[in-house]
Amino acid sequence: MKHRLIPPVLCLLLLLGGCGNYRELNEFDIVAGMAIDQSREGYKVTLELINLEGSLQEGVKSYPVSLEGATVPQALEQAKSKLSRQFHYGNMEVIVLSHQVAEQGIASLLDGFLRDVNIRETIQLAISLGETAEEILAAKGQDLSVASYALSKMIAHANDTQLQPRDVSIYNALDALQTPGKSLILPVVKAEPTTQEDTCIQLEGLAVFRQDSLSYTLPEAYIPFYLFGAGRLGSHDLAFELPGGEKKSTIHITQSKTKRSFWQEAEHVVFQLDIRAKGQLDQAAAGSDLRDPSVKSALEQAAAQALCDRMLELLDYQRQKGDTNVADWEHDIYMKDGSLWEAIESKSEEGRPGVSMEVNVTVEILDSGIVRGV
Amino acid sequence: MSRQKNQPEQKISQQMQKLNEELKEIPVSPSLAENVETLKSLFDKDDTFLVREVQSQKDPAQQYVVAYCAGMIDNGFVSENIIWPLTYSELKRTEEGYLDAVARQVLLVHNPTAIENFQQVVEAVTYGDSVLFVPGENKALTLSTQGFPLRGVSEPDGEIALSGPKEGFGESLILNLAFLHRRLRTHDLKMEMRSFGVRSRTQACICYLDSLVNRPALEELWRRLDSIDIDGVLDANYLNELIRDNPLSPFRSTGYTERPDVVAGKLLEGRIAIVLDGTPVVLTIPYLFIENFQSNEDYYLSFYYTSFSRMLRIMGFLLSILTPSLYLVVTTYHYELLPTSLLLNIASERLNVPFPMALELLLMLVMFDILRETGVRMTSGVGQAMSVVGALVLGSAAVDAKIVSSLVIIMVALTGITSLLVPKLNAPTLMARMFLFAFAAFGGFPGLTMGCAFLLVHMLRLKSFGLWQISPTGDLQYQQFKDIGFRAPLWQMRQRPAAIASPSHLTRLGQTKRRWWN
Repeated sequence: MKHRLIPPVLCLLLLLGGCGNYRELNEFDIVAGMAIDQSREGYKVTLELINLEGSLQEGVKSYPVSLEGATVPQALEQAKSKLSRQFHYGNMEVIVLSHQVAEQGIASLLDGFLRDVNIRETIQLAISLGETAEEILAAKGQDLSVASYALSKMIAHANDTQLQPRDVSIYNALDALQTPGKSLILPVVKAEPTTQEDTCIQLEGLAVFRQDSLSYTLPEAYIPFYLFGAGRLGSHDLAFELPGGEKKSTIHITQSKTKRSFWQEAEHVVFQLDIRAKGQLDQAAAGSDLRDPSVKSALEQAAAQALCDRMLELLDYQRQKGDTNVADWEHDIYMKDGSLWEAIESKSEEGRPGVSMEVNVTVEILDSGIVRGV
Repeated sequence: MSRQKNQPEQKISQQMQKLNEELKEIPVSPSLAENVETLKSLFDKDDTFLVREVQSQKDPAQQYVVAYCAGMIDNGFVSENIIWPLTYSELKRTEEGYLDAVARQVLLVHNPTAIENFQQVVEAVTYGDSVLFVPGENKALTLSTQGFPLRGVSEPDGEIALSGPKEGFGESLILNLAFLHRRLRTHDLKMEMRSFGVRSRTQACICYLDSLVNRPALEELWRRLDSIDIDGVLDANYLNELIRDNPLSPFRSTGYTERPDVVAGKLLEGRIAIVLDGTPVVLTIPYLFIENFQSNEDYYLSFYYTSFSRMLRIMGFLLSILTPSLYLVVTTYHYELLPTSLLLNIASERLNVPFPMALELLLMLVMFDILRETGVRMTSGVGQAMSVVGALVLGSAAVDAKIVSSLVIIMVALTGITSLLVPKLNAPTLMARMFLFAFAAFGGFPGLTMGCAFLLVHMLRLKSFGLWQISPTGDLQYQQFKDIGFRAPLWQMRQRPAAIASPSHLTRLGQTKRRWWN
């Protein structure tokens, strides 16, 4: 009786196992990255495919394939009729969206990607500031044999070394869009010509979203201060001047704590950032007597003032761009004060209570041994 | 086929019974001539059988016949201690019988035994003993004159140890038992003889320490041994296959070794040994699964080193059965699991390989087994050459010719090398590897998981003489797993395995306070 059960069990195993998924590695094309642009039909999807011919001798190379459709899945469907081989999306590492696509809203796109079982939910997203997203994947300069993988490494490197929030996966992006009071930020990438033929790619600030649409881009110089506000900064070299002079110094900030608080005053919401930063002095102003404790104190105060000024500049910049959700403070209200959140959420942008920002900064120089001249 | 089924099956012992009964019915005759005639008719067309007629020089009336097989006796011993005394000794007739007088006064042989019929004569002569016929007596004497050539004591090739005793069992049952006696000098060591094979009459000895032995296992062993009905037993594996549990399982249910120190160690844990004449392999029962990974050297070297070695062996077994399947599933079903750079490397390698991955792996696995088998069967010099040809020439040529990819060579090599870590599991490893490979090829990871589940269920159901070979349940006490995944220091091995040894004699190490410890 036991032996009679074996054949049906094996048949069941074949069904469960999905023998149909069996595909040899050389039967499909590996997709390294995807770029999505707008087109007349709807979307133009460019896939960067790996060319394995001669890869053992000359290294891996890639070539682009462009497809169009009313939606991204429809565009990808075109591949089945136009190309003889199937695509493997499992090792795709990056999706680049053109800023036109991003301005239209990306929630439905991200939702589609998450529903596709072939696409990993950890794929990194980036926004192209150039004319098209396709040009990012076409970049071939600086030994970019596969532009998508190079871009993925650049984002991961920036994420690791500066703790900058550039490594945003599809899953996290959609989560940020759906979390009340949070603004999605994505890395911005740009293709720069190096020679007449070649272009290289480089990261160029952050794209800030309002709802699910691209609102504005934050220049590279503001990113560290944006991170100060969010309490997520890893390290930063802050340049500052001593008062009344042109003596420039630099402090390498390695530790930073930001306390965020808010309270309501009449029709106003006051949002306060208390930043406490610590770091080593990289470059002291020429002529400073570092053994004098008052010099250290002056340096610390000057650094704090500089940091405070930069923070206020950032806040002004964001306000100019119409972004009232500075450093995701709306999310703080959502988490801590339900009634205030309801008041904010129910009103339009104009009807919302005014916001005033207060920034308090203290900086401590850690390498006091050098300052004392020991 | 059906006709064969309908016929009552005749036991081998019944077939032989008739022959033996015929022999039993032929008594030793008082007439020497009659006895010689009978012997010649029995050993007709056997030119190695010899009959020597001896006449006493002191009393020519005294005549004897000595029968033996050439090559099986010690010629010098027979000449000096039997023929010469019979020829030149003077026999004084006393009240005792003629046969007893010859045994007492003339022969220089220990323990001569009287026999009465020709079945006993045949048994004695064919085992290297000589039989002395004396005129006027209806009995004969068997004389222990065995002198067949035996291999010297050497270290077993399959169980070479860097440290510890180098002795290995030989083909002589008595000498093998002597090895055990020398190691366990106690009257508690019991050695019960039994012969198997109605034609081969192979002697076997069941050894155990009476106070420690697992009684239920011993009783079960006797029950199974009693059921054996076979014409000949030439090696211990004959018995192993006839008495084992789970007859179709590739996993063993009896242990085997060629080392006396290993057998002594097992007896001290309450196990039973079956020593068989004509083979250096000794079976031990009951057999636990973890014994596949244990080695005698584990107890002769530092416990740190041997614990690491044992973990390597366990890991080697897992790698050996799983490596091809895992490689297959991640390269044919679940590429997402591979890091991108590795995926690109594998894909580049496979670009011009004509065979599917499953077939490619299967070909190379079979090729490796062919090379391994060739290496084992060849003489050492040729075997080494075969290894070089197999590893270097065939491997690199196959990669250059784009028949296989180089990563497959690496995977097969890893599989092969790790399988050599656990030689006791050669057959199960081979079977389990192919079993899991089939599941992996058809079902990907779900298939492989199901295959592993089947394998695990099978392993958990393995028994050895009433004991579970793997028992994950029960009291989790240190003394019960001190010699499983790792080898604890000997001073911590206070108890014998509770599943095996007699419950009244579990303790094997006294509670000595080692005051010299810092």
